[in-house]
Amino acid sequence: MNLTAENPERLLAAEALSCERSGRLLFSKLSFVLEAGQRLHLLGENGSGKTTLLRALAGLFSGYSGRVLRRPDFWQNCIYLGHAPGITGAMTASENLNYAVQLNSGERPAKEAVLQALARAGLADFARLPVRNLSAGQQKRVSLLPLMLTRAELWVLDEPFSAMDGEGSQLLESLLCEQQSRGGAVILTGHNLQPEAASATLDLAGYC
Amino acid sequence: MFLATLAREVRLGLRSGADFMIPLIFFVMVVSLFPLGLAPTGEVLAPVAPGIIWTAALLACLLASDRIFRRDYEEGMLEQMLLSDYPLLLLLLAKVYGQWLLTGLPLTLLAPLLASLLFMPEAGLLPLLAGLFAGTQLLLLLGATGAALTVTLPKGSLLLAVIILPLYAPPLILGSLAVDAALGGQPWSGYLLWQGALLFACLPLAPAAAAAGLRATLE
Repeated sequence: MNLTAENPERLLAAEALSCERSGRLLFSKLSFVLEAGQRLHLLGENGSGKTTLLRALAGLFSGYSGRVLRRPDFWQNCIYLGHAPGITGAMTASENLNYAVQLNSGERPAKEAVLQALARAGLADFARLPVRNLSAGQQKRVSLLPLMLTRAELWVLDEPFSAMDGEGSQLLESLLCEQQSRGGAVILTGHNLQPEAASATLDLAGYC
Repeated sequence: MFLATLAREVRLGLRSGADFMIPLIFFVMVVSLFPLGLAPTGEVLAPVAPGIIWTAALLACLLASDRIFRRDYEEGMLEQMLLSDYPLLLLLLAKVYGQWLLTGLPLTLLAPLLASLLFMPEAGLLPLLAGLFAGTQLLLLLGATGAALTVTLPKGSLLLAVIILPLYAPPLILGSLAVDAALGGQPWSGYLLWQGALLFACLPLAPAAAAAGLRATLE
């Protein structure tokens, strides 16, 4: 299903999504619209179906009823970061970033842009090390780097704040703000999210 | 993007140290067990040499197929590839050919050495090399199709073998028959043309099947 050009502000919408897994109802009749500049916090306890919902929105999971409405250019315009970080342990941070950006936007990022992104994430001194030698928090930062170098309008982030220290959280927070101010939208999950930062919240506990 | 993926695959393989050489070492070891088990004489080994080399190459490719997707699955890279705007089929083809450069090609180049170990006459060398050159590509393409179905299973390697070994029969039969024909002084190119035809059929079909398989198994 496609979102048409009538509503250019709408980046993603869900209509009456229901999902049952292993005989347990995760959510039912869930609907929302995500518009440009919005930041949607997806809340719920462990095992409440947050990841399943994000995977369904990103098109990785189809075992639901209802409809997910996407824009025709969704696949060029969305970044999904799931539980598995999507980084390769044997490659360095810049190699990871290069490949991730190419995979997402089809273009190789400029060398200076890569260096800038690494510096901003505080990873400049670790650029030559294989990512598997970095700490969990640093690896998390590497997985967030593509957010800086692609112009994707929609970010779907599964627990982006986990394993992050104070500085890393601040970095991510400022990335999220930039994304909102340039007209992009974000949907994210987490357990210690600050409610005042969100433009909308969705609590899965209300859809059982 | 195709070349970037191919280069990434080869670089990762080389960086893994001895890891990428395991299928090659396996290949050499399996072949060298036969002189020990049967008899180290030309009368016994020469007639069965094509079959031994081809069977060992097939098992080595099976071992290599299992690795094509596993690391990327565990690290979440396969999901990112699924979400890419670039055709998944071409990404997977690049991964298969990366693996071929690491396994299939060196394996082909090792074969003459092993052929002399088994006292195979020189007349069979050209069909053996040509057959393995095309055949290892075919074996890895088929293997990738099976690996796409078993990558999410914790003990998928054995299931992969059960799924894929029957499909490995045609390249095995054609490849070893070509060498046998050459050793018997008969024309052998027909067998390899058939193998080439299979390869060209699998070149688009196997990555497409693997792509569909991955989309289903990664749900």
